[in-house]
Amino acid sequence: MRTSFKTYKYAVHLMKKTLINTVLTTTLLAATSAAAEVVVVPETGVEIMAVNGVAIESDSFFSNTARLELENGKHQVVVEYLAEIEDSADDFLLERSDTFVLLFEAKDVQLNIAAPQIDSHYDLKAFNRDPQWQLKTAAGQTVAYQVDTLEKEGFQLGRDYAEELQRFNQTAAKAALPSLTHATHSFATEVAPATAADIQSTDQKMAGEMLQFWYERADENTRDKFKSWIKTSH
Amino acid sequence: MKKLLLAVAVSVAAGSASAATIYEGNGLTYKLNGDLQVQFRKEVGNDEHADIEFDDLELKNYISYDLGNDMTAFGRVDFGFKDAAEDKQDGSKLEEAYVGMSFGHTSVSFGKRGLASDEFGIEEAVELTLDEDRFDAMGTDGDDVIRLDVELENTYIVASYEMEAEGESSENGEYFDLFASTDIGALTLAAAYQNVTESIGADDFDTWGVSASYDAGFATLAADYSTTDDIADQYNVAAVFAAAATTDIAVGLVNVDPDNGDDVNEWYANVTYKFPTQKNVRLFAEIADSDEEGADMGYLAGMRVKF
Repeated sequence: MRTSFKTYKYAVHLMKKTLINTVLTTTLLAATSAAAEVVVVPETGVEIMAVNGVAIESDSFFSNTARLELENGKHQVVVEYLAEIEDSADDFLLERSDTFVLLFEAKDVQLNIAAPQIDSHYDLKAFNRDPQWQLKTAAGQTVAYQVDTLEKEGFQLGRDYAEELQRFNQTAAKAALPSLTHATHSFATEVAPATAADIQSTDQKMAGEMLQFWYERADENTRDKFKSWIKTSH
Repeated sequence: MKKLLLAVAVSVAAGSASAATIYEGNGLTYKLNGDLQVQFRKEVGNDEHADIEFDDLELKNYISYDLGNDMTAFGRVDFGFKDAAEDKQDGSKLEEAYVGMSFGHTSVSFGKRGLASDEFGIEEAVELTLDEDRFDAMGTDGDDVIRLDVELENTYIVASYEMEAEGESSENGEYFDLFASTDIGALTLAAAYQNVTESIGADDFDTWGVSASYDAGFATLAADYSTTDDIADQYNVAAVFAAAATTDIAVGLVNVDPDNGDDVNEWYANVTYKFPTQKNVRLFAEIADSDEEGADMGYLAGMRVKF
């Protein structure tokens, strides 16, 4: 279940527009929020693999400004460090650090994520044992964080970070963010019916897009519950 | 000795697919690294012609088992294909094949691999027609090698012994090598020694070398000097500048002064561009020249991809 970050941002964008007019987005508001106010910038060698349970992809091969725009609040990122390890006087190997989950809280800042310089097996081993990630604001203030290793046994190619985080966030790990685990909606919650005025003031094109967008992203179980709710309630 | 690495400030985007670790589980780790460097080159020299060269076409396999108590058993097998690519031989060439054990930050390995003196040197050329240093001239790898590596926070010590293997199919020279380097702030100092007997019953030669590199912020500056008794002295000076966040410029000079004959100077200047989103993809270009009689300027441009 790999969802691109662009898709994620698009969903947030849709919800923000609908927020103004609809009761539906009033419900969804709890799960998202307003404008991006935290900018996360990975420094040299740092790679961000996932954010808030969603695997992310590079949007431009030539871009050197890989950055995440997030809402104020608590966030979870998955990071690795790609180090150039000396292999001889005139050659080096590319080696990855272990995969780490960082959990932090930030508000209205640019947050740079850095690692200490790693250019030997000694440095890499020490970093994997005691990961000294550096989370600092643009003004140089250190931001507190929790860190854990995201371990995967077996083949490492094509890791499904979304699925791994789903399991990780159900554990008691320091960097777990349980609120990201997928809860299912029962449709049993009473929602105040919209008035004629509410419906009239709602952007119906947007409402249609929202219904279609989220229906496509709902799993079979949620779709079935939704259909049952439509049949019994309307 | 760590090669001059002026880290270019590359902001790596997420999702780069350069994972070298293929499998990790139950204490077993299997890594696969690749190194492909292909370049258009006209060598420095007399009456040289341009062609497409393969500098590195390597696949490196590394496997390790965690034995507990900070003990690891490991093995490495590297295959190189550059000679095959240039029709100099069929198939692949076994470049390294060894096994070993590590205990904390100390490891002992044996097999076919680089010698301790392979760690020495500061030259920054993409290609040289001269040897990189006196150790490179005398030989820095073997196929009957026993090697000890000790890697500490600011110090790296290596000792190796290449057996002569008299009467065996791998019979060749006998090499004893030492290398040590240490970081003192922005300064890195290194020294190396090698005693080589190139064939059974032949005279042995001692080679010594010292080097220093200093990270001055705007550039990394370095020099080395090495000498082989009764054969030659050699020095390198080099500097690497970060011209941009993704671009390094290196310049350097190599001087070889043989005990018999005239000394030779070769200089080079190169530029390396690392793609911002992929640290493992580089474009490079270099010009070089020599004061050897009749030598014309050489040049090259190419691409290197690692994983």
